[in-house]
Amino acid sequence: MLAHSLLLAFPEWQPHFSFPAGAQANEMIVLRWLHIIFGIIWIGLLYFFNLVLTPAMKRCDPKLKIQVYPELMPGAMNWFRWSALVTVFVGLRYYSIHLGADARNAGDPSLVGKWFGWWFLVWLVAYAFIYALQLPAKGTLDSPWVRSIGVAVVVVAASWLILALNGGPAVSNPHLAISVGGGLGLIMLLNTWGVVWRVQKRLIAWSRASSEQGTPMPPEAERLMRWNYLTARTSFWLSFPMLFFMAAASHYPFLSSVPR
Amino acid sequence: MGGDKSYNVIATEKGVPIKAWTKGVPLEDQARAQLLNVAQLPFIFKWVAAMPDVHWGIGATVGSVIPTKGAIIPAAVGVDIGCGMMAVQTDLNARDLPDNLKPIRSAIEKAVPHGRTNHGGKGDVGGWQQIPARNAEVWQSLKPRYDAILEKHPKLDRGNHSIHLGADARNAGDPSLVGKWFGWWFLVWLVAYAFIYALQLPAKGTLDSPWVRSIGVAVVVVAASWLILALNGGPAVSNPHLAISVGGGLGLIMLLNTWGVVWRVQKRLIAWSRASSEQGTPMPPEAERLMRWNYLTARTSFWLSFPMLFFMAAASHYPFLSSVPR
Repeated sequence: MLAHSLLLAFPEWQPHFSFPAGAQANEMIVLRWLHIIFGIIWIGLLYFFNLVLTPAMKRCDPKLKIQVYPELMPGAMNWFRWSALVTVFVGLRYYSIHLGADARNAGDPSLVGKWFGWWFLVWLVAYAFIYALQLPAKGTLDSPWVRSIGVAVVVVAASWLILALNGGPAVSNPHLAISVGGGLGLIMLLNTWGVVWRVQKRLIAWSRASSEQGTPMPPEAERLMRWNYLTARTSFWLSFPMLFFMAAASHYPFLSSVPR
Repeated sequence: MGGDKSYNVIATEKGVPIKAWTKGVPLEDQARAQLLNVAQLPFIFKWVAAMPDVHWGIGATVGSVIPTKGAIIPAAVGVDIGCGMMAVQTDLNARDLPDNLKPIRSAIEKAVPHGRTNHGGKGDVGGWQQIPARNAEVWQSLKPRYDAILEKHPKLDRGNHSIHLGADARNAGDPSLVGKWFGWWFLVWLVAYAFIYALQLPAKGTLDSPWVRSIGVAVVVVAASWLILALNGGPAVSNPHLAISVGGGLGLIMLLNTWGVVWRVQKRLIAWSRASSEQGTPMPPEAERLMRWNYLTARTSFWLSFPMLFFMAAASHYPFLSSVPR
């Protein structure tokens, strides 16, 4: 009886594989796979810092903290910053394939350069504002409301601008969604290398000296820790719209009805 | 634009003109852009035509006619299922039709073969169930040539027939299959987990060799993947379904590891190390074995995450398990 039902369940006894032909389909799945793996390493560590490490370190005995820091952070920072770079480089290649396809559909291959140029410029200018909004400050500028609303306004304005600049009848949803999601990713990369790593390499060196030779932590350490906290927290919040736009690129065509 | 003609003429800069039978019907911008692209291709013969039902389509404009020089386009629209459409002028006016078109549609569906049985699998007799004698007779004369084509191009045998009548076209389905598919999926991966659980346990001698563990886990994962693809696969089963059957199975194993091993071990290690730190109680001797077990399990989940992510990404982006998209 069992043998009979098994035989019925196995009409052919093997799955069918038919690999998509063409180098680009294969390149794109490899790019996606790498992007997701390195993206998870990067954003996973970011979430670990925000959700686990920062609150744990606050509770930790300062002596223990200085001992743990030089053991924990160099490895964490290596994975964090290099995975960020790989994620963004792989993502840029993926983005350029979409830009190329849209430019061909529009009948003007030179559009790739124009679209990419606008994208980079818009998000670089946006980063200048966000960088300023993340700096440790005093008075009104230190209010979480001022910072949050400020960052939100900059992000919405930059997104609006890039959608208006690069949008058009031949422009696909993946292109536009990644123009926003990838812009947020670029900001997070600039935060990773431009603030978090710059701050952390100093904090790691100081805490190592403190743990090994008993040198006290310099007074600017506190300001740097605050700067690092504000930056990591901004990246943490930006990751949510970033992930939405990345998922929407292929699965929620709300920015253009041109699919890929 | 054409003057008294029954069609509009859209001139293009580089390509052939487009004759569009769109007087009184809308031509959306996206469809226009698609037609302009086609009109610029180097192998188009004289002009491209757009029928009154013209609208944007995936890969090709629906309602377009593309004459070519030296190239054959067997199915620019409906590239997956070879569907077609024909405009037929009748002597009927809109006022001759009833308000409710359902009986007409039912009558068309009765007369035109569509849909499938057995989920398109073996023995699919199509929506007609019993083929009318006249059609069966005609088919007998066509069959030898069809078989000859299939012999050369076996992938053409998809047996997927459907009629496009508005956006209402639905695939015939058997909702009870959900339970069967889900049941197989759960069973296969649960059995696979029993083996993987054993392979992750701290051990001594040969069983502790990283080679035995890795090859063991790999064999179990490949066998379970193969099994679920063979059990749930079929001509009507989509690539997302199959890819997630594997990727989600790996995810299930990782979840069982998370709650079934990592958390069980960690809650004890946390309690012991807290007691040790606060009251100076020494860590119990089994702590080392538990730490080893936790390490082996977390390491297995780490490696399983890579194929898991591949299959998850492949679900919507790399149709290598089925050519049925979603």
